[in-house]
Amino acid sequence: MIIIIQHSTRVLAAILLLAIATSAQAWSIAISPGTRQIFIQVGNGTYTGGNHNAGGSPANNATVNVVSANVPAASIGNGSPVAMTSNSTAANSFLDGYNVCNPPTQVYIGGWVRVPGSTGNGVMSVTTPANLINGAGNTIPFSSISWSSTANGNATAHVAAGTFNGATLTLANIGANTWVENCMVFSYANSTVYPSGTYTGRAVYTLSLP
Amino acid sequence: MKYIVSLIGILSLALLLQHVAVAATFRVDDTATLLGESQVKMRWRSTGVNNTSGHIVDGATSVTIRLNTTPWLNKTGQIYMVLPPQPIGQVLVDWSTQGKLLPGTLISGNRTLVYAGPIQSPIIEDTIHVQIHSDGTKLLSIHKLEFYFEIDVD
Repeated sequence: MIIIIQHSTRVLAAILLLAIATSAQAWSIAISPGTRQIFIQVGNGTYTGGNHNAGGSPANNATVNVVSANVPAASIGNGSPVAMTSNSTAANSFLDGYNVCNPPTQVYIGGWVRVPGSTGNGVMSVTTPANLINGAGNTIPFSSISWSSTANGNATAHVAAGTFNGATLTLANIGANTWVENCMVFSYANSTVYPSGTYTGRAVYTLSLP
Repeated sequence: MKYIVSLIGILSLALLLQHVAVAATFRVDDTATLLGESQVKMRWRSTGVNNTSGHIVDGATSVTIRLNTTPWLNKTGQIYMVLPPQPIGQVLVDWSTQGKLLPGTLISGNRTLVYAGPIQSPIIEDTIHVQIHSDGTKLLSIHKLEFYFEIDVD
């Protein structure tokens, strides 16, 4: 009896091997990586469909917010910094709706980077001309304006405090698949006497993903 | 003594038969399966771009499954969809069907039941809508997911 059983096993094994060899098939789906994406918001921004964590998507917002200060005649050039305020109304993060900033004093700045893989930093920077200028052609160096960086509930500033340099200044490196956000509070140095007038200049914030 | 030998023989045969029942798993010919699209573009799920959440990408497509069940006609069995372990980490697949096959969820490295019962036709065909979810931080280039079907015959 045992001999017969062993023989049967061999036959069975042969049949199984034959079956596997003749019917092995597979169908396949090729999947492609997610696209590289970046988002930056300085001042007012827009998300549609809710906050990010609720399925919302970033949208373009053409608003250019204004940060300004009035220097009283009595204190022009006295070396006491003058706090600046803005027309920004951005208070809550589009990540989750958390109240990050207290406008109009604080100006929201944030952004995120998304890449396939875990490497690839986004670089947030700001570019300014050398000077602010008034209608008469008088100038004030952009380096007269500084900012501090803070955020409600976030003791560590992701976007460093600094001073405009009349050129391009790197503000933060944003790691892959990371969202950073802070609130900037601007001030004018007021260390020099300049002719009266309204001086304007534009700071352009950029997020790039090399 | 003769009785004991015979008993051993019967037990051995019973063990063999049990072995046959467990081992009767076969790959199913699915070469007639049609893909809705050969490549699925995965998209980032909106949630999860911060440090603490997962970084999931999602994609979807339709597949017309055609299983050649001729070898098991008039037998009873269970058909499973299989996705081997993937080098890009865990891949989750879920699908809905038109009714011939069972809807389900499959995690790479496993198999999921898509049919159970008598095999009454030489071809089992169904169009399934497949949704694929994987870790976008590990999906660095185009990756091929190779599925197959296997049947356990009773």
